[in-house]
Amino acid sequence: MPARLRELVPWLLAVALLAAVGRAFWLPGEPPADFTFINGTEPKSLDPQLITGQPEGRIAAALFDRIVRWHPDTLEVMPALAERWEVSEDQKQYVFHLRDAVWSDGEPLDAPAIVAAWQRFLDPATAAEYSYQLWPVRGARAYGVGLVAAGEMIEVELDEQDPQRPFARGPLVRGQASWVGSIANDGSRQASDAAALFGGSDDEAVLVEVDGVLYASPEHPLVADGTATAARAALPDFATRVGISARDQRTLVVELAEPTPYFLHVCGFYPLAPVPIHVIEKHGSPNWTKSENIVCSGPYRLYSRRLRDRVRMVRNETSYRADEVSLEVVDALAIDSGATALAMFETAAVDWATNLPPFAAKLFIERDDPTLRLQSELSIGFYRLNTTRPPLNDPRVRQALSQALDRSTIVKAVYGPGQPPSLSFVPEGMETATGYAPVQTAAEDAEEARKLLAAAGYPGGEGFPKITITFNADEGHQMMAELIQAQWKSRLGIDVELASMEWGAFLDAQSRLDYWVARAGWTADYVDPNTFLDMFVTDGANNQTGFSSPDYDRLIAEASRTPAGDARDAVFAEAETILMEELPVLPLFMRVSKNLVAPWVTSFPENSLDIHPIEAIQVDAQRQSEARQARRLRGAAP
Amino acid sequence: MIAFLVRRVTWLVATLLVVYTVTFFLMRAVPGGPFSSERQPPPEIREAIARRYKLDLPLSQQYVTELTRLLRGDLGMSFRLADYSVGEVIAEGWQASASLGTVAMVLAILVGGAAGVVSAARPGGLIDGAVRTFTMVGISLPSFALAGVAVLLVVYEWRLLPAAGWGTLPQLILPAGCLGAVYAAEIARLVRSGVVEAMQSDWVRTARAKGASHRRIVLHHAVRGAVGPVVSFLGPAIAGILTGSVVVEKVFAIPGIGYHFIEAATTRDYTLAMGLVLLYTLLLGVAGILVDLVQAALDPRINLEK
Repeated sequence: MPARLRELVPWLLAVALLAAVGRAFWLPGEPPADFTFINGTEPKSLDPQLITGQPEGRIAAALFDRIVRWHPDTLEVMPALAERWEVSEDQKQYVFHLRDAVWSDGEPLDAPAIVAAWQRFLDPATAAEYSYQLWPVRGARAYGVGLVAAGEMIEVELDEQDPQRPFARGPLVRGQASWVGSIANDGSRQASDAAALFGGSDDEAVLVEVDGVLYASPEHPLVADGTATAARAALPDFATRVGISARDQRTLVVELAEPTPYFLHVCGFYPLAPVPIHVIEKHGSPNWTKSENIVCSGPYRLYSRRLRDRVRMVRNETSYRADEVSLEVVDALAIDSGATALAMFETAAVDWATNLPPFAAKLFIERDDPTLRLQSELSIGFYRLNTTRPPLNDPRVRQALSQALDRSTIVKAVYGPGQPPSLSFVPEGMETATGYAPVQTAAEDAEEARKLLAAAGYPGGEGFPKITITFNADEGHQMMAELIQAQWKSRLGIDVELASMEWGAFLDAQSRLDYWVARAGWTADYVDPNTFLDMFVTDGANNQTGFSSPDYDRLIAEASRTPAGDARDAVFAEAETILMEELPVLPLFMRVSKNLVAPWVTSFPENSLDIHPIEAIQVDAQRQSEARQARRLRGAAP
Repeated sequence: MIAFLVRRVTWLVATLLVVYTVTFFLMRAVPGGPFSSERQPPPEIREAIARRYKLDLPLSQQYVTELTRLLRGDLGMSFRLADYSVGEVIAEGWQASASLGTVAMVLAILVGGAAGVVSAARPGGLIDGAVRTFTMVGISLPSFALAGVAVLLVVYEWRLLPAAGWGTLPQLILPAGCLGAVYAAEIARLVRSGVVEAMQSDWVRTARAKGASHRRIVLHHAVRGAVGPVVSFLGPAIAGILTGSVVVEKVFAIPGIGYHFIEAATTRDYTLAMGLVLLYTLLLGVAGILVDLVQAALDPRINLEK
């Protein structure tokens, strides 16, 4: 390299550095919102049909209206997109009369739009995690699983694209399936009674025949040689076999397979919010959720989204509820560190913080801080017991473990006062919400616990194998496990080990039944005892204890056929009695939602599902701006 | 130089392939998956989800499909940030990480460089002692501890700067300071030892014999001895700082790549984690090549062909 050129190198580096610095100070600042809150972890998606978590739910509920909504304080079902509705005598048919609502682009949000949205929700290609919430509807489960059988009405979605709506479903061929099965390479046909979906190109790939035409997935070899027609999917015929239909533009009719008392409540749950099919067909998923494409129906619409930073929402003027909304611009910050959230709250950078670190919660409770809002939730903290592993397969051992615990001392030591212990699996709050009185397990009795353990063959804990309490890494879970370990040791004489695991590995171990005792929690999806009790039916996806009782299964099935009322509550009580005697789970405490709310927030609805609709929140803007300037939550600068 | 580049780029491609393979199988060997959750949907829905994301295919087939997609330059869709492709996540996170990293690095070079030179000018003196103490503390102090103390003092006690967040200049100062401090300490140490060593060299003795002032000797001659080690250090350091700092980004809630990195690993976001690991490998490799080129450009004694 010539010396002259070499001299230039340091200068070139300096210029590059300067350019980089100039670029670095170009920051995406925006004026502050009228209301800013810590929303926890970054939402998985803005598509209400694809989400399950609380941070996602807060945003989805603000952006997308449902056919009914829940009263912000009492959670009672209120009119939303449906102005009123009728329920048939047998509680199996719902007729919803819709109001004249529009999407934020002015398109009508009418009954056909809702039918199309719910069809997408159920479509197995959407793979919507919460779609089973619609399974009480007649034919919904078969459609969602994609079960087709010979002799039934089916719809075949052809593999053709409409250039105007590139992401729409393909044209449908509807008719009776004359044959369903697979065709081997040698041409031999193998009929199957019922098959779920087709795909893949191997021998087992499923084909269907309608009106003498064979349909198969586009990759199937028979498509290439022209024997079969390419189709994306074959599903039960939605129009005739699923109980969701539009009687006219403003009337939505839903037919259920069984009377499901909580169905109306579920209709207010965010995953059931209609999505704008006309936008999804144009932009595809997930592109329709981008701020430049998205179309909303709720009290807010999306203004902008910066990943792992914030979702900014602005009042949706086209909503029929626009007048009720007081906050013009709202920021939902994606911050999952509790310590960071606390620092932002204390310096008045946010108006509401949802995730408080446990140490701070205890401190706030002890000093009786009015900014901390405690509200008992329909949520239970419990331990799962692996009933497939001896000695935990013996109900007496499980009862002994339960009766040896002094729950109030343990819970108070870990979470401070204000977090009540629980002896029932359905939280007590259910009684005020629905009238169902939860059934309790036997209260603390160390003497009885020792007797039970002795009867099971372990007098004084002798010969009891070493079992392990597994929990996901967390200060509070660790402390609770230590206290329980100590009580089991001192009262029953048994040795217990503790194992802290990383979240993903912990969930995996639980679902594979690879544990002895595992910590768990469950929050109601809807206000009904069923959301807690149907978990423990044999092989239920969330059972994860190996517990199986034919009586229990029968009772839960019976409850689903029984209309709401005392008779149904009695069936649930009978089921919970079994659960609280068999004890595949040890209920420990009722969870309490902990929200930090700034003093200038003048209206902040609270309820037992920890749902705080943003459109119902109000602030005193004057006090808020003073506090923001001083970076102080309370009082003036010293 | 062409031969040098061809050799290094070939190595880089081979490294990327190995990193891809190891990451792919390691991630799938870890228990749990991108869709495990405390609330399990019915098995039929779990199957539909697995099918949609092609997680139901045999591992070997997944390995090939993903590799083919990557070779086309497509990093795929993120599993846990379902509205974004991995490319979009990186493009967005990059802006924050790069802003933060550049400011931190410039601070580190200015402060660290100055401290190193001043310290080396009078080895054993009072200033030297102070600087060496500070660099020792800076190097050994983990950044979460430093960030914690900074938040306590600057945010809680003095209410001078915002606690966290991203988008305005005041929000940049504290995290850039915390991130830069560690690098500043390292640079100060490198500069000091480089200058002190150069002070013993023949060319410095010659300069002194010619009657050059102490100031001129230190600033004009001896400082050059520190440039080599600092540039070598800066290559990987810049690659690291551009891919974001896990701790600082988390504490100060900065939407950068470091934050995405840790989240991708803990939530088993296979595609995002893979994209970020490959990005980091690529950056590290390119930074290494650039450092060698710059070293050769600055120092005539270095021959790239060897």
